Amino acid sequence: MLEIRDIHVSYGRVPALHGVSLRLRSGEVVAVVGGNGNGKSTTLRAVAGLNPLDAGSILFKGERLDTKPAHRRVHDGIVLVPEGRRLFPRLSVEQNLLLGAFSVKDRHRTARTLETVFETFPILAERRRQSAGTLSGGEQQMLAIGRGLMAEPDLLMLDEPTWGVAPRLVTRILDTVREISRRGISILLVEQNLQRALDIADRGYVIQTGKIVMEGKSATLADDPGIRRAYLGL
Amino acid sequence: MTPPVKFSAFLILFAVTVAFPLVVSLPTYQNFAILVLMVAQLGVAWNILGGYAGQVSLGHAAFFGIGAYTSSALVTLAGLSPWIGLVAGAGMACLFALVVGAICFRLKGHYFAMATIAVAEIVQVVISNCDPLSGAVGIYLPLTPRGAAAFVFSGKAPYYYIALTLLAASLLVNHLIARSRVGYYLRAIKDEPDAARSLGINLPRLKLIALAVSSALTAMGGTLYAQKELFIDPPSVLGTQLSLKIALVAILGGVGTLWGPVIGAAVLVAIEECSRIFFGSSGLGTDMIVYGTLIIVVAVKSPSGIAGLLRAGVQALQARRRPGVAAPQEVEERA
Repeated sequence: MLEIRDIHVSYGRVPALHGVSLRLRSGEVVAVVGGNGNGKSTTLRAVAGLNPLDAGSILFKGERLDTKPAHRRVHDGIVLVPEGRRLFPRLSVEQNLLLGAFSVKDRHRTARTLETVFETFPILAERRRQSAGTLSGGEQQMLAIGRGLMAEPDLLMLDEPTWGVAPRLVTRILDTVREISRRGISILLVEQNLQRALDIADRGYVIQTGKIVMEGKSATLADDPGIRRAYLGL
Repeated sequence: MTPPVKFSAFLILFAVTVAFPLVVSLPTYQNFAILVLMVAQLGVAWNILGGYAGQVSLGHAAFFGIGAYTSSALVTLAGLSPWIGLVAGAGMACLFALVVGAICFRLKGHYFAMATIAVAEIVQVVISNCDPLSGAVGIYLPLTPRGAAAFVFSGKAPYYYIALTLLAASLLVNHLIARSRVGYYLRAIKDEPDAARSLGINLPRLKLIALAVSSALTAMGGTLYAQKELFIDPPSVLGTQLSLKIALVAILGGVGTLWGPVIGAAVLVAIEECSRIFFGSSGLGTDMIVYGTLIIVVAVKSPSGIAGLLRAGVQALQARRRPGVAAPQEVEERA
């Protein structure tokens, strides 16, 4: 479904990705793991069209994606839930969700999707009139994911969905991510929390200083002694 | 404020503004009121782009000038009614805005603001050197015929009502945009541009819509100015000072608020007129000193402008009037 081929991205003169390649099949949950500043978020931003490529290409459903502007990619079915949530704090929960449905022109469909999101995250229904800035970290993350679902994506990219979330909610959020994938939505997940990411992912990629250094089934990666030493301190 | 209180306040404001020229007949005061309405209208128009979409333009005089020059040229060169010029000027400004926007929106933040200054300067230089538009000399508009069809009047009152109508229309457009989906999208772009892009919001298109609407309304203000003064030249309708004034009334009054630019305009025009009356030509620039100080104070104390200060004041009053704490007038009523 998604194929990233040897992409290079830089911020000004500072290279961030040098030759990242990655594949994601339809319905899969794929985790990209690695330490801070290794290029995880940049990879997702490049797929979303927020960072231009210096070289390489990205294919989605067999079509070139990297030549399209960011907003067209959402129409094609790719949605990024950005790092740090990036909600619209002055708007209400419901308004935030409706903004997510920008690419969907059918209002009835949007209303149905809104109900589905409220079923997935009942707390959002309770707080629908509250401004997004007043929610707790975990609730904000649910809202960010909900807002992403409003665009009815085929591929949902989550950048650090457990960042700044109370530990008791981390499991809930990741379980929900798994549940979302069961509905047929593919997930590309970026996490620093390697253990938890590999728990819910089918496959994983380890990224280091802008390069993929290892890939494989989640279970294989989680058992790899090198990874356990480097990332889990075991 | 509760909806009935808001509605009553609006009705009173409406009645006062409509009755003003009938009650106050002195041309000086009428002229002052017209200036407030005109500057307010420009601030309201600017606010659609600067306030809601967060794109600070410091070159709005270009659109104002295009409006003024289009209608004036149509009057003097083609003998067309200024009313046609009003619409044509808005259309011209819109077209120009789409071209400029397509280029300048590639820049972000301060760079966008700087580019808009450059655009306005270019327009000023081009028109100053354009002989068919009388170049730097400017255009004198005919004093006759007079009447509604010719957009030339003997008294001030008709200009007052036209300015009031234009301001009301601009406020209505602003209000409708703020409450529409486009309004939400614009605020989303302002708050979190990257998040907006990752949700599929077409940033360039929405910014262009905001710029087009804003420029069309600004151009209409330009035509009104030309018809009121019956003389335009590049510095008066295309100058940087005018661009700054348009942006500053909105910033001082309250960026992204409906009434902020109106409040900002009342304060600015009052300062300008007072400095003119008290200091005359010897006090040139006094208004800008006072105005600059005010901007600094507002930026430090209340970044949401005077409108934000007022809102905070109203909320504080309402808090004092909550049950258990009787307001003075309630005590009087009980007594």
